[in-house]
Amino acid sequence: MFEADFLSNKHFLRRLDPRFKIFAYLALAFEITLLETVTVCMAVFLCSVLFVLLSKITLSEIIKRMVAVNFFVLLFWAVLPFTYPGESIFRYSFLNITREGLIYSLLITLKCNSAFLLLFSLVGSITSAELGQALISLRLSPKLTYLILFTWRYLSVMWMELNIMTRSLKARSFEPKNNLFTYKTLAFMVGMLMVRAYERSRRVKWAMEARGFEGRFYSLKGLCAQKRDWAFGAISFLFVAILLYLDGLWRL
Amino acid sequence: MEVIGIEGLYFSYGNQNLVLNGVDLSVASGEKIGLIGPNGSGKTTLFLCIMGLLKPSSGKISLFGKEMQGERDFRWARRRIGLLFQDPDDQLFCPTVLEDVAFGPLNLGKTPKEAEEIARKTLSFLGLEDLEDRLTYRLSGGEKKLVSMATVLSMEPELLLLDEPTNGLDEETYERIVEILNALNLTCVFISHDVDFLLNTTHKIYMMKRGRILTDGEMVAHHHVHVHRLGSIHHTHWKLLCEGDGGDE
Repeated sequence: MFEADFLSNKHFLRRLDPRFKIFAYLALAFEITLLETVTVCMAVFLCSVLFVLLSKITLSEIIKRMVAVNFFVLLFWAVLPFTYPGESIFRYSFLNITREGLIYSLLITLKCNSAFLLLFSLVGSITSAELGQALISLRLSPKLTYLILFTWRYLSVMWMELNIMTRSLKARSFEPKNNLFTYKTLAFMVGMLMVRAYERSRRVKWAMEARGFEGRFYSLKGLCAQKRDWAFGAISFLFVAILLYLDGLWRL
Repeated sequence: MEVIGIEGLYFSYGNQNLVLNGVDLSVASGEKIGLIGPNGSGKTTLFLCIMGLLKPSSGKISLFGKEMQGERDFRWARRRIGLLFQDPDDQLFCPTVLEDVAFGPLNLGKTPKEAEEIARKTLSFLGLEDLEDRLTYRLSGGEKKLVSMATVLSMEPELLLLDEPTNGLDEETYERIVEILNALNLTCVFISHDVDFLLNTTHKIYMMKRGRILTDGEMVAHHHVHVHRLGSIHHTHWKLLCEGDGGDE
């Protein structure tokens, strides 16, 4: 997310006001947690696929990331159909697959993938500056917002420093083993990473103060909701309400 | 007018040895000064003290003819000073290049439109227009350095403090930075280990050693011609002779 390649696409979702995208994402994500029927979950999943298509993210990028998510989901498929109580649909020796177990696994898969695709297409089409501005205008604490933004900015730098330290360890023939020396070395590395992170945060603060920062961020582009944003918000709200109603109806 | 006036400046980090050990420095308007010296001699610390980011244990700092009494005075001075940090990753924290270059002008009270205009003008002056929509963390080392320079210049400073502006740059970017700095009509202090760079960009070179500044009277940098293999490739010589101590590698 927040990758230049995604953000450079000039698509409908990219042009929407970030506050409405955050709102739509939160509403849909909350709804996903409440759903219990496969049909409604399927509808949300199709909706998230539609958002991905609208955001014009390349298929390979999506698949690469979905593999990681679904690896985790696979664990549920390996356990739930065999352990969840319910009507048996297949039995071989001590293995017993239940209908409810399969449905439950399918529900988890649909929910997990929908939430991921929505996050990817809705929140991923917001630049970090827009995200900061949107969160502040949604009354999130400025401190928390800056924390989110700076974490995003400096994660790559810390990752680079971690790589440098790992390279340095390898260059000095370090091979991790299950012994005290290895654990001590790894602890030193993590400790040093924290010290470096602290030192860098101090320098960044100085750099900001040197450029006149007095505790308030200004943005080049102000947020201004247009008709299309309100329409998107209303449609999202309606969609969430209808699906919740249908889920309740079909559950009975 | 004296832009920087420092008298008897002392500073130490916690209870460690003195990093600044009675620094005296005077920089007049329009002067370009080079500061050279071994690692740990207090060059960067001196810059941070001038900006009021570190508080010296004693000594007097005057900027633009006004003695700095506290944070309020330093805030006033910072608006007129451009400080370039050694590591561009410390300097660039906004997501895109344009936003980072506009950060300073916005803090100076410019409207978003004015700030954007200044940022574009500065990027164009440095020949970096193509980078304005790029993510700062995705830039190459040389690009980061040039963009950092843009973030400083966009504040239209009267005094430039540059900490290792040519550190780790390829020859082309190095030449470009020298060209840019020579085109600027500002009061400047440059920290560098590169004597060639300082000779090309400054009027005077001072040496800093053990927390003190040894001025022209004690150290003289001079041009000379020499021959050796691969001499046409940009290079640095480290042998500096100082009166009284016989040399410094």
